Amino acid sequence: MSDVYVVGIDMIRFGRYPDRTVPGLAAEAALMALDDAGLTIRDMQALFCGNLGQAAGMVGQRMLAEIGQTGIPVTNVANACATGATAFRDAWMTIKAGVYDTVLAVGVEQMGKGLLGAGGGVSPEGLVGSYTMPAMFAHIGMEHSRKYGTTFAQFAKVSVKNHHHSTLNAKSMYRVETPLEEVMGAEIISYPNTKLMCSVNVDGSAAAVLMSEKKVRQLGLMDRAVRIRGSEMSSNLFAERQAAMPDFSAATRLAATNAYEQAGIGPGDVNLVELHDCFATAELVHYENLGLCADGEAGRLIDDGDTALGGRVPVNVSSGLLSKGHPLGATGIANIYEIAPPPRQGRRAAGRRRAYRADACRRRRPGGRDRLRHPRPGESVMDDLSGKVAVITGGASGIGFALARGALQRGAKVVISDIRADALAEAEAALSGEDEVLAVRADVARYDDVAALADAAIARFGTVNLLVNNAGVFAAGLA
Amino acid sequence: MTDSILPYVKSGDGAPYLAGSRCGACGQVFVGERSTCAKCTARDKMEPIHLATTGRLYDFTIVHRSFPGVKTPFVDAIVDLDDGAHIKGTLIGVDPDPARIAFDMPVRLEFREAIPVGADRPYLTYVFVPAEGATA
Repeated sequence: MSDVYVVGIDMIRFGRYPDRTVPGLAAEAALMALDDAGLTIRDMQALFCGNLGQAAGMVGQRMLAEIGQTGIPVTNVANACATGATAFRDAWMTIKAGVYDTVLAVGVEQMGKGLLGAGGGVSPEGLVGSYTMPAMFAHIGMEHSRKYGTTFAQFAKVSVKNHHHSTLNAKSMYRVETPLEEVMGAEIISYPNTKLMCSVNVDGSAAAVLMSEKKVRQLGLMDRAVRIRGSEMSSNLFAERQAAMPDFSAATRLAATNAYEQAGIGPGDVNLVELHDCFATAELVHYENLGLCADGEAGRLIDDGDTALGGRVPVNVSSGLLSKGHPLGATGIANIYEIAPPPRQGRRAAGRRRAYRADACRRRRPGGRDRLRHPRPGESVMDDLSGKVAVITGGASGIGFALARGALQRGAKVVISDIRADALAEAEAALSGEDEVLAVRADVARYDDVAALADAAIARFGTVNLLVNNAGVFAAGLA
Repeated sequence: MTDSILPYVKSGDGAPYLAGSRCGACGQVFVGERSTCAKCTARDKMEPIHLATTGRLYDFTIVHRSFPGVKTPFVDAIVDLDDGAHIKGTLIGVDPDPARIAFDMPVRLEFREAIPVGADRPYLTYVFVPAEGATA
């Protein structure tokens, strides 16, 4: 079966667009993704269009009426909060199956305000508990508290983190810091979730162009293509209480386990995660569902900052559904956009954010020019580093930075690491931000950091030829 | 006769009960009437039963914001009934304060009539109340 690649992906800034139409919002993202790939709607062989609110409204066909009716098959997808992700996955499957080589996946939603949940008519709401989404997702948090003693403050820290991340993402609906007291002091919607711990109902759209390996090579797009290592979907296994309280964990665990297996990796290999934080409680529980920590340790993970920008495994660097917003049909593709922007967009992304961006997901091919060349008499082996990959620790400033610049000038691809995240981001920007530089925050005194540095270097450039162990560990006061 | 708020709430000619089903193959107890087991997939093994009216509080949330017209706050409770069924309901007779509600507290099911939001007449429904001698 062919490998499948993302060759173009984009999203509009999520927000409230009451004067726009659903097909119109979809069309905007579709054109952005096509532009990103350098392709047109004429190149697309099929369209999968995710939308929930107008599930019977043939949104995909109406979108094509706006951007070009080429007669391609359209499948409209509705699958609750997984609507966008399902459209993407369906597109992936048709290429996997060898039916098409180039497929467009679009997700779009126009949301009202207010709580999601049951429809109209005579409702048991209040008389027989609650049927709102906030109440359902409050239960998974309370169940976690029951099992492991997880606290209100630990759930609230998820929002503090994701709202902080939002300040770095221009496509986020809200971009404001919310200190812990503010999150915990906000109106309680359904305990323990306060208003600032619920995702934002917004309008939005996102789109991706997926392509078979054969086609990617034919069009010469491999340098921007992002390979999809795995995609899995599941529904709930039978769970004891799911008729009374939906079990959001069993299906997630099943899909995650299968996806890791398909990709040939384990949770320990993952160093960047976008997950479905529709509520703060959900994100915390999903840490365990995805295997980012052992069962019962999600509270400690958030306390230790492991999932924050710069932590061991940053989660929802995009700011998540909590601040970026949650337009149901668009959310899944928007999450993929954050994880897998093609290189050109990655360079455009905010420097600070990118400095932390782990590159394991990109899995780009190692450089093809990496051939050994023997120096001529009088010439140093270090004069020409074309195609070599150099890792320089402590590369954010001083000698390390100078070495990095020198190596770049001699044609090397350079991986710089430093313990200081901000200095690292500046250094990366100063090194011109070309495709040849990867910045990885690492503390060389920590084994895991060094291992992650090696993994990131190999994931990005395929190999390491040169290591400059420049970072020093100094006693305080001597540095 | 008063209509019931949900299909599994039965008026029982003046002796209301909650309808349930027990799988003859695996023993799983479900809320409501059904013919196939979601757990073991057995077909036509379901026996209709009247669900227990006592149980323990498994999980809860305090709902402060609900759909328009619904009075808040209220306690949304998930109760493990003594016969093995699991059911959602509103818990009354407790302060809607997480510090005052204990997991596993014993509760009892009571039937009553109430006017749901969006309706103009009472429906048969049920609530949970702390059981006698319960220490919350």
